[in-house]
Amino acid sequence: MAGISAYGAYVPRLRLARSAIAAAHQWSDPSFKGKGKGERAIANWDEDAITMAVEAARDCLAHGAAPGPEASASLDALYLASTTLPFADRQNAGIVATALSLDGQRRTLDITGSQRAGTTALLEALQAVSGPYSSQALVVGTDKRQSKAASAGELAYGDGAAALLVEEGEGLLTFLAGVTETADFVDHFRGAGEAFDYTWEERWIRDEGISQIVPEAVNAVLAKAGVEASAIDHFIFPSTIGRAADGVAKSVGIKAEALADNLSATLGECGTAHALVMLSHLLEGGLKPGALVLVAAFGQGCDALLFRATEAAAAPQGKLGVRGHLALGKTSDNYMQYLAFNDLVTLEKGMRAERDDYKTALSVTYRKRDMLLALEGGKCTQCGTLQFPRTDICVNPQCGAHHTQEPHSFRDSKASVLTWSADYLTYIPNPPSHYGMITFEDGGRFMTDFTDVDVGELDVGTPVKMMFRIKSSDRLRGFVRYFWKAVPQRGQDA
Amino acid sequence: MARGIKDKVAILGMGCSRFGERWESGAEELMVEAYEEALLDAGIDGSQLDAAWFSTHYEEINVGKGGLPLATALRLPNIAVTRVENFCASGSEAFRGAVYAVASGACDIALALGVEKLKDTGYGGLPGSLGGTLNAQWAATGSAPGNFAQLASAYRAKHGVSREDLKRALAHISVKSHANGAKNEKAHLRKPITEEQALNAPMIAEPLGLFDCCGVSDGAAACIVTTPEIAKQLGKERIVTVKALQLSLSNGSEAGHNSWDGSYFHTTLGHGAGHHGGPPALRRGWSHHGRARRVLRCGGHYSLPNRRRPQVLRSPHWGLGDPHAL
Repeated sequence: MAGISAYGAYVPRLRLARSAIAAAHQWSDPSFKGKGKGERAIANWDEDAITMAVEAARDCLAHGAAPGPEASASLDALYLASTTLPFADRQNAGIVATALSLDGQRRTLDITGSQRAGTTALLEALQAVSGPYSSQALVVGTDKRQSKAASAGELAYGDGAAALLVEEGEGLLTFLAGVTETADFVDHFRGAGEAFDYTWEERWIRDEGISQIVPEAVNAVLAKAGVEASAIDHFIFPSTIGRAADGVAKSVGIKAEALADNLSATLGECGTAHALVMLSHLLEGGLKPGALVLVAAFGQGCDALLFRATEAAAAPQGKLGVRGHLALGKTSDNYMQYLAFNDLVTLEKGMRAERDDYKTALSVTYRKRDMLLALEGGKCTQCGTLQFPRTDICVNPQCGAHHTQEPHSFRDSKASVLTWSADYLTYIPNPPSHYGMITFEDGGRFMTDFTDVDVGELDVGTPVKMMFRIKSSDRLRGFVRYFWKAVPQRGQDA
Repeated sequence: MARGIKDKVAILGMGCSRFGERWESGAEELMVEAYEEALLDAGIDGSQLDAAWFSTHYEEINVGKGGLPLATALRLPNIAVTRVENFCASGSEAFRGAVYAVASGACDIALALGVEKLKDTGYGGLPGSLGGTLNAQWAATGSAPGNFAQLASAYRAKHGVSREDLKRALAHISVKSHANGAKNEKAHLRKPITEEQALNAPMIAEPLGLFDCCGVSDGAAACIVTTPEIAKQLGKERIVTVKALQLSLSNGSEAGHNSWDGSYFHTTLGHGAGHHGGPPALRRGWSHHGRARRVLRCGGHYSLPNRRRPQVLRSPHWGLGDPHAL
């Protein structure tokens, strides 16, 4: 028996009002006039599929069944699902694992190539923990959607990630059955090395693709589990095509009220992550024990997974989740900023922006991977001082002991601002550049970049938390450097 | 026990270039300009130099590495040239090297020269630097103004100073410095400014506005040192001697240990090893941690006069290798 035992999600703070997108394009396409409802999540300039995956995983592991090192020890696999991963050949899941201190003797996999990669990863993980080779696995779906300006995707998509912890036992949601239907139905494609999707006619996708293929998978999984379609309490099926989910539900006999919120009004469609995002969102509300949950995702075929809620699913786990992150959003109508963050416009960035084409010393990146990716510093075993980075000689002026430090991660430590500035001189894609010294509650400090911060928001004493972000990108060589940045604690986040 | 170098070394001659956006000059020409003035002041020629210390910070946009740029530009008589670099204290380092060489008895006459050619970058402000293969991967973004601006935030919090009061206090410094610069024919910025101008200037790095930050200047300065005896033999009547030199570098505990409150630099207190005696105020004046001085005298870098300058020196010596700090 296998089940989902914890959930978590990440949605970037920035939201773009669709009215801003619609207003920008009405001059060329009057149909945009009626499309300005709601908002979509957009990644900050220093976020991508990997950084969002790390944050969703942290949310999932934070207060759930797997806090601390014990759970890390039993966690033996990490599945990363996305079609917008920054590296085509460097395992992306390995970066996420290292950031979470989950590298070492564990299986890590990138699952990609289709919009159902998220559900495929979930299905693979459930099957693995059902067998003898795995006992606990983390499944993360993440996508930073790339779409042309004025495309349908620009309005419909959203950036985000979700993570599910899968393990032996009945969990919150017990896995009943899973089916995969494969069909090379090319509703859209993105050639290797291409930036954008090429999409066929929506009516054909709905009538010939979704309406035909999805019911096959759904009926098969229901038959496999011996469950009537009318008994389904929650039906999760992401689609950006209007009424596609309704149509599937109707055709197989799932009641209309079972349709789960696809979050199009507040978040947008997060690609491979979206089925997992919707599932996390559903779980965050608490589920009636015994409730039947059907999850399906379409993409060159269809995955269908059936679950039953246990007693444990009744109470929310206290994750920030989709709901918490949605509540922390900052809505913007700055469409030009969105274009700039997504490289959809050629901006004059000034000569100071030219300095980023330095190669990264990969030998250093590896040697210091725990420091750079897991924010690991040191704790002096002689004086107890926490410090970052870890060095051979203790930083405490009263100590100075040699070779006494054991690893200590500052990743989840609370901190506050000691010094700060908002710098208009130095180049950053989202000026001004905020940086300063932060001190950790339990000791330790270093100078850090701040991100997701508004002008005038920082002050000495402002509480902050650490988040995994892009430090810089070497565009000449296509390499992305990651590190941690400080973000002000806000709302229920605190 | 260190006996110190008090009165063992005399200033034989000093010179400096005109500072500013010297579009017509490269580092080589600036070096020659300062050198010729120092030679004239010293009353010697280059063949009498035993050794030279050369400082520049941004060698990558300037002259390149090593001591050769100085030896070549000045066509020195194949003597030892040592290049030193220590951020804004680079010029002081060159001076220290030359002074210690004479004090030790190894040299009779030594040259210290610093140069910075900054205006060949194509943009305003100081260039950024990476700081090494590891730092490039984690160190916070920064600029010179932004790094120093951070002290203002902690200082304000510690002492309960309003942003407006702090800005006004900083404006006084800049008004004073510009007034001084106006009187100095070698200064980069020679127009007095008003407090309102300083307060209303564009923001560079909160809370430092344009006039709270260093002007970015091209320039060079040179100093020729010798023993008091030789100075006398060479006909110098009013002998100026070095009383003490001091340098203090942070060991990084401020940035890594929670014992520091972020509002001051304790390296300005002159506790560095091997001090040479002298009154505390003098030692403070010499404890040349560039960071500390720049923050405490934000805006003071436009002009040569410096009221904290030790009286033992009659010519500008600050930041020989870092003329923007002058």
